[in-house]
Amino acid sequence: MPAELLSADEKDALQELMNISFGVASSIISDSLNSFSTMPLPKIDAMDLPQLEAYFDEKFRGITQCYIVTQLFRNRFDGESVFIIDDDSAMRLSSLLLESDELGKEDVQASVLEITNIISSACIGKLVELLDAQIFFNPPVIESTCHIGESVLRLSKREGMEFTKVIIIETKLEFETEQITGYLLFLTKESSFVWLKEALGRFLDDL
Amino acid sequence: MKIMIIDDSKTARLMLKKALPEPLADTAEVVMFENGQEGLDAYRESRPDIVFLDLTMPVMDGYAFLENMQTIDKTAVVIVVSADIQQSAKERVHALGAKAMVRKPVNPATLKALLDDFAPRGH
Amino acid sequence: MQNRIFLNSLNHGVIILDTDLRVRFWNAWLCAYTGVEVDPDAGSRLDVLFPEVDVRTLKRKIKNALTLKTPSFIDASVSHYLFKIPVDKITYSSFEYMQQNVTIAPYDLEAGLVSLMIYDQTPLLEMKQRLMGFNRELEQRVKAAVEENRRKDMLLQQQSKQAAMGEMISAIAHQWRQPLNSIYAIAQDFEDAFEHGEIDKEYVSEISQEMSNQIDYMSQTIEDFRNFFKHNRSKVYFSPVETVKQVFVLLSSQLKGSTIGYALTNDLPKEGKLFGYENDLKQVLIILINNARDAIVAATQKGVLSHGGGNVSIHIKDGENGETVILVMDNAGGIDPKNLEKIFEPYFTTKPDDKGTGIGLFIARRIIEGQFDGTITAENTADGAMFILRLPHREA
Ligand SMILES: Nc1ncnc2c1ncn2[C@@H]1O[C@H](COP(=O)(O)OP(=O)(O)OP(=O)(O)O)[C@@H](O)[C@H]1O
Ligand SMILES: [Mg+2]
Repeated sequence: MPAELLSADEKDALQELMNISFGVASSIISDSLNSFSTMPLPKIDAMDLPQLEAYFDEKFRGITQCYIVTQLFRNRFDGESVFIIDDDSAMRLSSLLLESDELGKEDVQASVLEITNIISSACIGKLVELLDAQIFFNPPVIESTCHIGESVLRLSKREGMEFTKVIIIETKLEFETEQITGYLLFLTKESSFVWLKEALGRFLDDL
Repeated sequence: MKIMIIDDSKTARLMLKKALPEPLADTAEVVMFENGQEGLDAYRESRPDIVFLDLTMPVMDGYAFLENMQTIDKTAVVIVVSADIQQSAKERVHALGAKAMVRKPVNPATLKALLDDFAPRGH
Repeated sequence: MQNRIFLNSLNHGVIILDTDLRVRFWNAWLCAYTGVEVDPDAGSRLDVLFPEVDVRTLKRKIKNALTLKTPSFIDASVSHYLFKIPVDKITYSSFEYMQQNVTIAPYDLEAGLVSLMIYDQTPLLEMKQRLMGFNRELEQRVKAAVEENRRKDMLLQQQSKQAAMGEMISAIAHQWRQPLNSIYAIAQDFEDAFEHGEIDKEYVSEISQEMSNQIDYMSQTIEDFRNFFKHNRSKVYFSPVETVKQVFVLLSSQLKGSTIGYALTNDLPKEGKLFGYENDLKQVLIILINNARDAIVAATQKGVLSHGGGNVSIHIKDGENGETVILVMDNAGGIDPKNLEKIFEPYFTTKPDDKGTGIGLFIARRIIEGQFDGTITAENTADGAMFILRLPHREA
């Protein structure tokens, strides 16, 4: 947690706002899938871009086959959501969402895209809305399907990237009765986090 | 009119207080606590008209608060406020005597309706 | 609808829907592409106009857009379309219906209305499909090429084994010629002696001693070759000077049989050591000496070289970078300069079918580069060809 970035009050506010947004996300998903889902309060971390690759590889070492979906969000708070779900979980998720057991690959892909969109909109969209700001979402995209040993996510290697630190907000989507696990990461730049701090400050002043 | 808010997050307490409908915001006496235990101790003394209660809190959570409440004051008006509302939790808090369960963040309209329904004598 | 003119001039579809899927607005682009006109006051439902609409999914996406106040999406590359608009193209298209990206955005939260923006993605997806086709074809070609290479490689490996075997057999045959002749002579002599009644105990023991000697020599030859070609698959330190000496011993009968002289000169300052598979280096030297012998025999036959004037010489010295250099030289006139580039290629040969397959130098180069991290090159000297082996020193 980039603890030095936030004051105790700001931290409390962020925690509560995320609590609310993640609650919205999991209730919409529970509604859509007719099955109760949980999303534990996220872990927040800051790291340098090169560390991120190792972090991903470490984190998802056990997953052999999965979908990786990313979705960009843009404005003062900008970054991208990354949803990672293994093939079996994706299959089960899709059959709940579409209420069918005869699913093609494209059905599963459509479902994974839809869930990613719900989660990004609910978690990030709601958080930003609570802070009285606006945000724009790109449609989610299936980045790749990964295999063991390969780097899970290719990272931007552009020269002169203007940010040094990446803020990662990480949580998990799980279901009470179904064997479904998906990982959720929201990646933002340090500059966005600075905006977040300011917005939290304004929000607290208003209370 | 006496309103009690129990939530471990200061932000949550302030957000709820801010959502109080107009005349009440100025006239009501609002008391706030960080966990069920503190709320319970204060309740014995002051008997508020309505309690807004969070579920997950350290020391004493919302469920334990409700259980204790049954021996202290069966007629207490407790509204559970939570970010994450599941059917099983809803049933449980109703069985423990809560009057309603609402989702965070509570907006002024919902709050007004709740107050009209459950604590009408204040306004 | 205040922005009717604007919405009707857009180059993509715009629909305003309520939560029951009733069409409240239908822009001009959609009229043009579907041929369907919709009266906003008639309350027509989208799923009645287009029965293929997936009602459950669409309603869910509308609901989520309204609750979350953010757009939901339909992705053309996985869901293809919301409803069917035939692709009316004269030229070929791989799609029957327009491939649509759809953005479902909240339009009026109070009234429960959403806007659907429909974008034609058909050309893009067509391009993508074509690219994927190219990719598949490319993959197949690469696979076929790799397979072909593997096959060739196996063939080469087999042929190189056969070549080594052939070299061994012809070397043994040469070594045996002499003792076989002796034994034949003894048999002849034995017959004569019998006719002349000269067979006594002394004679028999003399002859049997002589025959034993020849047979011992023959079995020793086989033993030598067996050791020589034994697959000693561990790398060791060895002296290149000793290796060359052994190879000369092995090929001595063959070389002498063709009246070819051979010599080794050693310029190493101290006893040099190389690290690797010694037998592999022997195989390379045999290949080079046999090539020299072939060239000398041919030159002699052509009369360019006098009978008995052929020579193979090997020179060992230190290189400039501390490597060991082995020069294998002959005086058979050298290699045609236009072939110098090609001689290391597999199957390149200037010899008649029964004399050469053209893999000797290919194998030699593979061993030197692959096993010794070294180089092998060829040059012409004033008299003939010179092959230069550079073998870097390595640690175990
Ligand atoms: N010492 C040499 N003098 C002249 N030409 C040579 C000499 N060594 C090799 N060459 C040329 O290089 C060609 C290729 O040699 P290489 O050993 O690869 O094949 P080959 O001797 O023709 O057949 P193989 O060794 O497979 O029986 C030979 O055909 C010959 O033209
Ligand atoms: Mg040869």
